[in-house]
Parts: sequence; C-alpha cells; structure tokens
Amino acid sequence: MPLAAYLLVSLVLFVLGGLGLMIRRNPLVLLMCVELMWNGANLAFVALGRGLEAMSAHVFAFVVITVAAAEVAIGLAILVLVFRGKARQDVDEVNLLGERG
Amino acid sequence: MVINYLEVGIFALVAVAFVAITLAIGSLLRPKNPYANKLAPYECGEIPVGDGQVRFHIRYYIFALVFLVFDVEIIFLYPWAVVLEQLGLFGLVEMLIFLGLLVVGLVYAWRKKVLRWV
Amino acid sequence: MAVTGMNFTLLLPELILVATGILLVLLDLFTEQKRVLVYAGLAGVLASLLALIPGFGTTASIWADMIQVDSLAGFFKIVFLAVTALALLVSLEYVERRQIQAGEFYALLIFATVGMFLMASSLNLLVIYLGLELVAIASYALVGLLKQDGRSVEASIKYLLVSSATSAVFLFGISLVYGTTGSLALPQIAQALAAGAASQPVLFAGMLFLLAGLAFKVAAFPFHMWAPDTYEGSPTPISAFLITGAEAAGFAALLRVFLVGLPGLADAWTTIFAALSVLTMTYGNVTAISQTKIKRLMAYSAIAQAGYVLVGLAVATGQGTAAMLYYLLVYAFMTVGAFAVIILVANSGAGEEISDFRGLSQRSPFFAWALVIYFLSLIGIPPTAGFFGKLNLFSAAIAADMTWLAVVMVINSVISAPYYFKVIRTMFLEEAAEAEPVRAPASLTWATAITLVVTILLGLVPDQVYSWVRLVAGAL
Repeated sequence: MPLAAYLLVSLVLFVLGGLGLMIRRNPLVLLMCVELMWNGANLAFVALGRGLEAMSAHVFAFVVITVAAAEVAIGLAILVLVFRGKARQDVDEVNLLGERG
Repeated sequence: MVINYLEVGIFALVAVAFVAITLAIGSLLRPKNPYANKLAPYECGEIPVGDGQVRFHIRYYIFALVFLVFDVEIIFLYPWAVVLEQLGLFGLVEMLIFLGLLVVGLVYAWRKKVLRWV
Repeated sequence: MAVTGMNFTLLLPELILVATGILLVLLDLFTEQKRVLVYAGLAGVLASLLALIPGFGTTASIWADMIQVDSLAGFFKIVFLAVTALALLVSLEYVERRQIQAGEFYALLIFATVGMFLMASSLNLLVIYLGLELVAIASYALVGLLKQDGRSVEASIKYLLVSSATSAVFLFGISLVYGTTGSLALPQIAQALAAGAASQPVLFAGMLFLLAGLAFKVAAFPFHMWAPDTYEGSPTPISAFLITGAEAAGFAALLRVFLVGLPGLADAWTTIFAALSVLTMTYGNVTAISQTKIKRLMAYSAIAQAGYVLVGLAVATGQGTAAMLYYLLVYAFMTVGAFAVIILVANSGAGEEISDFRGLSQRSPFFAWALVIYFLSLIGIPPTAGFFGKLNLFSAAIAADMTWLAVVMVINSVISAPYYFKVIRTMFLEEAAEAEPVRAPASLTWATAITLVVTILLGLVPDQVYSWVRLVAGAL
C-alpha cells in the first residue's frame, strides 16, 4: 500500500474533524471532532515514520495519544460543569460572555 | 501483490453471500406470528423494566478518568519493557519515577474521596 | 546505555518546578493552611530562578538534543518565573475570596510554567508541542476553576474547543514538515530546507499550519476569537498569567520554529507576519475602544500588543528579535501590574466594569497612579518602558526597510490612547459611589510595587537592558 493512501486517509480524517467542528453544535460531538483531527495528524505521523523508517515519529505518536487522553479527560470534566450549570446541549446557548452582556 | 488478495476477496464474498442466503431462506420458510411478549427484549425471563438507554451515573465518569490515566500509562510501559535489558538500572529508575508521578495522582484522587463509593 | 547529554545541572530549573508542583498537590491534601501553598510556590519559583545561574551564558544541547540551554531560553525563563511569582502574589487574596480550590490552582499554575519552560527551551518540535500542550491543559482547568460561575465554565469550554482544535492544526503542520524534511529537530529541518526541500508545496503547507497553530496561541487577528471571552471569564489572576506568560511562551516558540527551523521560507512568512501584525494591532485597538468591561478591554489591548510584537517577526532580523524580547519583558510587568489593580478593585466589592473604577484616585491614590503609569506605558508615552519597547520595534522595522509597518504602529498607538484614557478619566474625574478608601492586602501592594518599580526602571535605563537583550537575541 503506498504511503500516499495513508496520508490521504489522514487528511480526510483531519478535514472531517474540522468540518464537524464548524457545523455540529453539541459540545460532546465537538470534542469528538477535535479527537478526529488529532487522530488524522497522528496517522500521518505513523505513516510517515514507516515511510522514512525513523523511530522518532512513533515516539511522537505515543506522546500525542497520551496528550489526547489528558485533553479528553479535562474536556469531559469541563463538559460536566457546563451541563451541571444548565442542561445545555448546544454550544450556541453557552453565551454569557460577549459584547452584548 | 494484488492477486494475493483475490482469494481473500472471494472468501469475503462467499461468507457474506452464505449468511444472506441462509437468512433469506429462513425468513421465507418460517411462520410469522409476532405478539407483544415475544417482541420484548429477553432478560432471563424477567419482564423488562424501563428504557434500554439509561443514563449512567456521573460517578462512573470519575472512575473512568482514574482508569484512563493508568490505561494510557501502558503504552509507555510496553516499549520500555522491550528494551529494559539494554537500558539497565537507569531505565528502571526512570520508569519508577514515572510511575511515582502517576501514584501522586492516585493519592490525590484517594484523598479527595474520589475512590469512595457513596 | 544511557541518554546522550544527561545533564541534571542544566535541567535543574525545570526539575525544581516539577517538584514544586507535586509538592503543592501533596501539601494541599494534608494541610488546611492554604497560604502555605503560596509561600511554597514562591520558594519553588525562587529556587528555580537560582538554579538558572549555573547555566547562564552556556549554550548546550542536552538530553539527546531535546532540551536547548542558551541565553534565549534563559531570558524567557526569567520572564516566566517573574510572571508566575507575580501571579502567585496577586492570587493569594483572590483565591481565598472566591473560594477556589487552592491546591489545584497553585499546582496547575506551576505546571503551566513548566510547559512554558519547555516551549522556550527546545529545538525539537516534539518537545515544543509537549510544552504547548502542558500550558494548554493546565490553563483549561485554571480558566474554569470558578466552578460556581457560569462565565468561568463557559470561558473554559470555549478555550478548550478552540485551543485543542488549533493544537491539532499545529500537530498536522509538524507531521507535514516532518514528512518533507525527515526530522523533528529544527536545525536539521533548516538544513533540509537549504538542501532544496524548500521548493516542496507540502512543506509550504506545513509551514502555514505551524504558523496558524502558533498564531492562535498568541491571539493574532484572524485567530483571536477565543481570547476576549477566555480572558473575561477566567479568574482574573489567570487572565493576567495567560495574557503575559502563555503569550510570551507562544512568541518564544514562534521565534524558535521560524527563525531556527524555517529560515529557508523567510520570504513567505515575513510577508504573512507583516500582514498579521497590521491586522492584529488595528483590530485589537479599534475593538477595544467600545468595551465597557475592564477585562475585555485588557483582552483586546493584549491582542493589539501581540500585533506590535509580531512586527519583530515580520522584520526577521536580530534587531527585530531583540525588540520583541524587550517588549515582551516590559509587557509582562506592566500588564500583570494593571491586573493587580483590577483585582484590587474587584476585591473591594465593586465589579469588573470600567465604571467601577470611578473615584479610585480618592479611594486609593497609590493604585490609581500605578494604573496610570501602566496605561501610559501600554500606550507608549515617552518616559515609560512601553515607549522604549515600541521605539525598538519601530526602529527595527525602519532598519529592515518596512517603514510602512512602522507608520501603522504609530497610527495604532494614537488610536489606542483614547480607551486607556477613558479608564484614567473614570478614576480621576468621576465621583465614586462610596468614598471609603480601598483596603489593599499586602500581597497586592507588593505585586503592584514590584511591577511599578520594574516598569519605571526599564524606562529609566532602557539602553542597558536593550544591550543585554541584543546579546540574547544573538544566541538564536
């Protein structure tokens, strides 16, 4: 399988995540979209690491997985706070801050 | 290269076709007599209560978080275990420090009474 | 087998900070005296500062070239430690008053500082990314620590979503650059560029991704939308910490990545940075004019100041870098100082609207005059440190034949004057609703006094500091 195919998949994942971030409104889904973007980048890393036969990319992928886990943990904690305040399912309703207030 | 996958492809097709054909024959032959009791989800003979999609208590989420830390730690342990002999004492001490830092997190969770089931 | 370049002495500042952070977590669990945490934190910061001394003037690549010790890293570490120490000081009263969980607050503050250290002291994209994430993850929690306050939680979730998306962008940029140059180390990337990789369109795309990712972190114009909300909603000491510390760390990473790693594409990115700079400062200043909340005003002011600092990257000369460093140093002190006054006013029972500053000159002349000096410095009125900061950037732009950029800077400084003066007028000319003097806790007085002295000193002896900064910039 050529390297380009893996890179294409990674790009598709990344773009899907980015698009989802723009059109979806549920904060939990947004968090998942961000994860999709991260995984897209990570897949590119692993593929390139194979292509270049270098270990540094694999190490990087491990680090990214760990960071992503930490990010999700804190993200979920904050989401719980958001939902606890008011059962808000839509980021457009999270609007206490801004020019109008 | 591609030809090697031909067998796999044929096998996959046959597998899918087998399941589809068997199910199709079954649905043609068997008698159809649905009623409420029969359609209910099977829960070991008990009458099902409530919705299948229940909300989990938020307290599971905290456990998930604590689990996550030690879950992700494993991906560092595996590569470490592979090269441990070459790393020698240095590698061992390094990993002990790493685990020690994670234990601080566990101590934190314990003192904050996260581990207590209320 | 051991790692090449194992050097504990040069890594000591980071190690001390990590140890301090962990100590704070544990101390918090076993003591009810939360003030102890602040003192322990300050002691850790001081110890880390002292530990910087042995490494001063040396340039070394340690820990398998993951950590770079040089005077640029040293400079930024001093700035970060100063910001952290001041943030600890101004937090003392705030944390008690708002009933924030003290242990988490101070420990995360220290961990975020470690992240900033990593961002400034590595030539490896992996470590820079790790530092960036350490700062980001710690700050998501810090921003949302006022858990009862919906605004704080909202600021946190907005910051989290935008920041993690930009981290993904930055990460993808790293993977593209890695794919084309075959290395994560910035010097090797520069070599690959010089050897002909510069012509690849994929690398150019990677450069754009890196630029976008880091531009988000410093809140440059099209990537700024998280900044006002985050800075308004978060606990005020954290706003100050993020605006000064995290932003300086972002600039440190920008300097490393673009000047060390991607000089081969300088033609392209200098143009982009020049455009970003003009847009950022103009947008920040114009939007700041109509603000009625002091923290939003400071947020837009921070965006504008980031625009000024970007001039240094647009010119991409040693002089430009030196001017950036000088400005970041000055900016850190005057902004934390201004936030100390904001915290004082908020603690005195008034809110965080600009109108709450009414009659502050009578209620607390010292703090009112201190804020005047910070604001004059932020505008860039002559005898202040901010003036010399802008002057350096200005002359760097002229020296690099970018006179138009210098002119835009001057115009922007003029635009910025009214909104700062609006606050000053409110303090001095409008009557307070209640006339009783503001009780200032010692910690806030200290923080204000220190920042005031430094702001004035940097204005009195700009040449000495500038020649030092020139030396530091030469290390890049």
